[in-house]
This record gives sequence, C-alpha cells and structure tokens, in this order.
Amino acid sequence: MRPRYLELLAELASHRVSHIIVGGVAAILEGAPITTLDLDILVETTSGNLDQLGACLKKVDARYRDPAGRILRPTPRRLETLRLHRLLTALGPLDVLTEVGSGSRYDDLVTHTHSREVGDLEVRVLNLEKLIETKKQADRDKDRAVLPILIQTLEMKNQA
Amino acid sequence: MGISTAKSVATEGSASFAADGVDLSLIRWFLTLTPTERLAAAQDMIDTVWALRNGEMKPSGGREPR
Repeated sequence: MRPRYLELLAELASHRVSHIIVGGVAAILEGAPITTLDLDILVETTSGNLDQLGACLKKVDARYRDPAGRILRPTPRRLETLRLHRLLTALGPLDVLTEVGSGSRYDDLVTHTHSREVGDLEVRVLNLEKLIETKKQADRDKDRAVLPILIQTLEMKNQA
Repeated sequence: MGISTAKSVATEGSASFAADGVDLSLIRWFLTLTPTERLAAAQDMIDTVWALRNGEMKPSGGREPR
C-alpha cells in the first residue's frame, strides 16, 4: 500500500480527529531531509476524539500490521487501552500513539507544536526540540539513526 | 550527542558536511522549501521508488541489464 500522506491527513481532518503529527513526517514538515514510510500521530484520548478516530480508521479500512497476516481491526476498546497501534490503511501505513517518548501524552505536548499549512490543510506538528527529546527518550536504533540530521536541522534553523 | 557540538567540514564549492557525516547542503536546501513542498518532495520520492519497484517506470541512464 503506497503511502499517501496528504490524503491520510485530509481524512483525519475531515473527521476532526485531534492529533499531533510526530515521528518522521513531523521531522520532514519541520525541515529535516529524511525519509519515512509511515505517518505517526499522537491522538487526544478523550472518548469523543477516539470515536472520531474510530470512524476515520473505518473509512480508510485500517487494520493492524499483523505478522501472522490476520485481519485485526482497531476497535474502540483497543483504541482506549493500547499505547501504540501499528496500522495499515488504504492510504498507507499509519501509527496511532497515545504516548510518545517516556510517556508524554497529547496534553503534555500540544504546547510544543507548530500549526503548519500543508496543501489546503492546517496541521499540528511537534516541534523539532521536542521531537529530538522524544527520540532520545525512545532510544531505539531507528531513532538514533536520524538524530544527527534532526539536531543539525534544529541548529541551522536556530542560526537562520 | 550535544546539540552544539557538531563541527562542519568545508568541501569543494559551497557544499559541506558535518563532522558526523550529515549533509548540511541538503538541510540548507530543504529549509528553503515550505512544509507543503517538503511533504511533496517526500511523497515524490516514495512514488518514484514505488513505481520503479513495481515496474511502472524504467530507471533512466546506464545500460540495460543483460
């Protein structure tokens, strides 16, 4: 399934899902020249927002990226209880998170975001400082691999 | 890795790399783009790789494989 970032973001917007773009796409929008295949979003976990998210995920035919090949759908109960949902949708891979780094949630990070115009959409993006912080906290190989580029990008933005 | 510890290395022309190998010229270019253009660049890259992988596009240049 080829990722189609803008169309996936448009679906989230049309369903009024409160979310922050985090991960690789956030880095790209903030100016870091990296590549990624999935869209990572941190969602607000109010019941109303999870309902909106559930409707959106149904519309884009979301199911879990299950190594055994089973068709598992993100039910309301799963959305409430799990911290990370690695999904495949008709518009590409989508990771839905309720926490990032060492347990930061939507309310903790919403003040560390920028509103960015992307096409006709206005999206909320985690700023580079916090993105670097969460990647350092996560400390996985894939996080460590992009950290030098994120750090240099932040440094060059600050110098501009 | 400290934010302000990386030193840049000047190379030929205006291109330069950080001591850790990060291509500063690429970052400099990417920062001139709008967020819409940055996302479009990432999308173009994915579309191109996808098309090449699925045989929808032939690589340009070079010899045909025997």
